Amino acid sequence: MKQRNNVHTFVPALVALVLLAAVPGVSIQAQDTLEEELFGEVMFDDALFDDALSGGEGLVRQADANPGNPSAALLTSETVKVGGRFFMDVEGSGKPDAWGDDISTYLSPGVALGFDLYLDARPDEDLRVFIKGRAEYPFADDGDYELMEAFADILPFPGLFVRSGKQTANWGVGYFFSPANLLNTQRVNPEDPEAELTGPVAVKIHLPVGTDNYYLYSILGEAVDGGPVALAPKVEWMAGNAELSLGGLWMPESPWAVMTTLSTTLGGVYLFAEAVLRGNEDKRWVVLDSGSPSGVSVETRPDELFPLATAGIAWSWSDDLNRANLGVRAQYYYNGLGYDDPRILSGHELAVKTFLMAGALGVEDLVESARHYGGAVVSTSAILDSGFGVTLSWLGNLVDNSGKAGLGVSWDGWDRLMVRVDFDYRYGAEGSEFSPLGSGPTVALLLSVSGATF
Amino acid sequence: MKRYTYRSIYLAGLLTLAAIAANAQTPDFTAMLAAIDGQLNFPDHDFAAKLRMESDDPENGKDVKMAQTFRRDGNDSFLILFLEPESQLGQGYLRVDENLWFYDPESRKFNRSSMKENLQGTDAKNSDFGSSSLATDYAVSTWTEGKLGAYDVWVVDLKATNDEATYAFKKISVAKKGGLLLKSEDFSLSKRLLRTAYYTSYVQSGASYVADVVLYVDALVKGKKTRITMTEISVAPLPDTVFTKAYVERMNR
Repeated sequence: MKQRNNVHTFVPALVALVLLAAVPGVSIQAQDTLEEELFGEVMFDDALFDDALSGGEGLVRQADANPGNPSAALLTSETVKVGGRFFMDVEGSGKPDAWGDDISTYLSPGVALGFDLYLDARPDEDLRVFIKGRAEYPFADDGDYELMEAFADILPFPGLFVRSGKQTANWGVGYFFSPANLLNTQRVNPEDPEAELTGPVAVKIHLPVGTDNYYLYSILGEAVDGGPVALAPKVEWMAGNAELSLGGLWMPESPWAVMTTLSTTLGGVYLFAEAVLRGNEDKRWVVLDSGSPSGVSVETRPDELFPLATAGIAWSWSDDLNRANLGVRAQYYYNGLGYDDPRILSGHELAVKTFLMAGALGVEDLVESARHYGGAVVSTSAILDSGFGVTLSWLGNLVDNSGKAGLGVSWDGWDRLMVRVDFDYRYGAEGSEFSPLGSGPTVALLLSVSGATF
Repeated sequence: MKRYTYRSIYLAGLLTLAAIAANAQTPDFTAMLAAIDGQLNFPDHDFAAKLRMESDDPENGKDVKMAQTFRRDGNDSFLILFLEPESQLGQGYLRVDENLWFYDPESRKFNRSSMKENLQGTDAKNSDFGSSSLATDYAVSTWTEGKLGAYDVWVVDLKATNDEATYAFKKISVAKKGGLLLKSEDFSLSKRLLRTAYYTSYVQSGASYVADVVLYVDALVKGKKTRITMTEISVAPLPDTVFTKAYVERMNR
């Protein structure tokens, strides 16, 4: 009886062993079949191969004698291309600190809906006209439509590129902060650093020379109303795997700036840095003033020079199996236009509001109010080949010790749909930059339509 | 005993002769790598082609991308511009000297990329689209003779000589007749097979060849593969401006 049991266990084990042993064989056989199919007698026998090497058909064939100029063909189109992108975010967000018994009030709903629309006409190799706009719901008659770009590309002569019109002009290399981004009309939003920025109305002349690039921008934003023209030259030099740029912005009786950027890779780590010197600034500062009833007043500092600088790293890794990946970015920013102690703003909140209402201060004067900032993000996507991704982020004002730390979990396993849960914690004293109402968490659930391009 | 000694000497002599004969037919494999690079590169003229990339992924289904590629091996430059699908229109990879940028038409930014990265979710690497550098990136470890379908091939094991090489180890199959690269098995540092590339068709222009049909079989995900087909191949001179950021920006949307 005991022997019989042994037979019962032995036979399935033997079968399993045979099957296991057969698996690699099946795999090798499949590979052999593929290779026979790819390189077998039927398609490519030795005779054909020999013929092929002497110009016949088979494994090798001759290139077409006169296939035209594909680089020029790409630049022309007989039709005007209309395209764009639809986007919609449905969001529910709430503050867990304020949650009571009624679950239905936990998340306040919100909807962002809109579309980009562009026209791209390429009637001639030397001419291209591109117009792109964005509309966001609610589609009011007089607003919510933004002209993102409207320009013409022309080639006055070979090798010289001219772009004339409203155009994006990304000068900086920073991720969260980019003080060298001198020309765009929008600054990088550290909480949405990859968002598209709109640029000025300008004429850009671009001369590539070897691996270097020379640019001259004539900024015409104020010239539209009869104002002066600003000039902005920029040079990009390549040296090995480093790219160095030097540029400036100048307009009569207006703020000026010179900037330099450096980007390179070192041992698989991407390094970037920007340095800017600004002068004749028109920014308005809130300063202590014992003669003022509120204790503060507003001043400008046109005679001072303001240095700004930023540096950061980016690094990414993925394992050989493509089952795990990691991306890291970290950046420090020295903002010479910031306050030594930005608490002067929170300490005189009423006066600051009064200055804003009176027009003595603008909202732009209060942005990035401190001298030192930091930002970092660590992310991983498609974990174990799933649609799940996790992002850890941090942004901080290193002077008033306020900031925002976030954890986001996303899933994009379905086509064109993404679900994301964000947990953010804002910390810092009440009135601080990142936590004006005091510290506390926020939870958001987001459903996005993504990749709906047409 | 004596009989065995004579027999041993005779056998040893035969083996030596056989070894000498074999050595006489054995190519210089280091020179072979340089010859492959020489065949696959276009040092004296430009190269352009349309790329059709058909990916078949058992998890994500089928996907087709179209792109235009330009190469200038003389100064190690290339440009890949995506034409389809619509969501990738205007994206591009520009390599100039030691630098590789990925252009994102959404943000209008050039971001640094690496030759070791996969090309937009396919099984091809960015380095597959530049000039061939087997002789500088790899050293020959071992070799043997083999058969690949109908072809007699040299099967050569390679080991990377620097960190710039995309794969740590390779096992390549080179046709004995013509010396064309027909197959490459690409391994990780831990010698795990990552993918197999089959070069099933070549186009010849002068002394140079380009594989116009390449099948990349993913060794990690069963059934996942990418077939890249080149059409409209041109070796006509290209304007210098093609390999510039300005040209890429003109193609954006």
